[in-house]
Amino acid sequence: MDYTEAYIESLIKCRKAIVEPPTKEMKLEKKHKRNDMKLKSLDMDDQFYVFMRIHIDFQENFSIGLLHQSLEGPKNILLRFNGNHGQVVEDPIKPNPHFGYHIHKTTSDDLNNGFFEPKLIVSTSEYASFKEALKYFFNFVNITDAYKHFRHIFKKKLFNNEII
Amino acid sequence: MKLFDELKIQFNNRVSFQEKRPKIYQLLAPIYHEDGDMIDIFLELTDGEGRNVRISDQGMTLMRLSYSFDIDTPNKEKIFNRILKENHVSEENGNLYIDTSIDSLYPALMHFAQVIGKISNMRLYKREVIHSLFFEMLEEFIETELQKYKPIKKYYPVPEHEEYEVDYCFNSRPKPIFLLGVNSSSRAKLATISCLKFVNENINFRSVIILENIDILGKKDLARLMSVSDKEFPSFDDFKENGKKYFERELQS
Repeated sequence: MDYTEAYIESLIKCRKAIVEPPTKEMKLEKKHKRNDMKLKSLDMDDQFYVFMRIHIDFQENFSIGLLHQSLEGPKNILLRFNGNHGQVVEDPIKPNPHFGYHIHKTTSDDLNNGFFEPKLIVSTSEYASFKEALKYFFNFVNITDAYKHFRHIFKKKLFNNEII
Repeated sequence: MKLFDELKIQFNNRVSFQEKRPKIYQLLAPIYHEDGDMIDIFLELTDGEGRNVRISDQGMTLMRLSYSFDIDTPNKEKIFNRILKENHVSEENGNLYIDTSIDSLYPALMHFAQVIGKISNMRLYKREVIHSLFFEMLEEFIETELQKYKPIKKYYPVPEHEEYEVDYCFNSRPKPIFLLGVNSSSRAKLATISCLKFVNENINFRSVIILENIDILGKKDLARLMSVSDKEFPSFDDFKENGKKYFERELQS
């Protein structure tokens, strides 16, 4: 299929529910901790997967990603929220390196060319820790029931039960 | 530090170093993954004189690989270990490293970066290659392991309707086995329609479906396919493990 930016955006923003929940605690694996979960779109047939990884010694090195699994094609990474792990460049051939928390987003060009790694890089100041990145990610990709499984990062307002 | 001064010269002053933890320095060099992230390389002095250095990735490569690929089968482990061994890279609890001396630091670093690239690309074994090679691998398996049952490739059970094709027919017995490979939703639908057509045509057969991987199908496609087929293998790996015995039972009975 031919991907368009609008279609990719619709995949990222469609309402999603968790069908295979994450484990309560992140699992230690080698030198990082991991958690994963599977999502189902509430608006279409597509399935999604979320991975969460954080390095045990270098906690500024983390990644939270959204993978899309269409009924037809392979799994593609749509987004990756990264920590401040080192230099990052838009073009490895003409590097103009910068540091900081950043988001990798796939583009229609990436997917139509069969590229697996999302190449568009956007610096962000929306988060400055893994916990903040998780919360921002869940809202960004519209996971409607994330608060049920990540109570430690969502808080309820005292009087009207609103989740913030 | 002498080590860094020498390395800067060797890299034509295009590198710098950041102390990430006491005595562990991250190399900031123009060596990148496809997505623009810098390849994670760390340097650690392993003696007091500054002559010996450990080049490592602090486990970052396997963490990155785990986003979409796990080294969770003996075969994948074998490939992983072979890459490391062939390239003289060691591994300890996920940390990939080379111990070297200051004199050979530059070539060792370049080599290490190349190995990181190789390990990172192990995900290609799963995704592009294996997905696109599903039918080739199925063919290879059938033509080596099941050859004694004389498989007929591209068989048309209803000769006047070539749109209903099966990938392999095993007709060494009165009730032939029709084998269909499925690696996508459209192939699942086609297999379902074909099996129904053969039933409608009163063909005496038994259908065997080989799924590339059960996860690639939606629930509805899978339910439709399972309701019309006689036997399904949920993955190509499962077929490789159990297919031969299944055919022995079916075709020698």
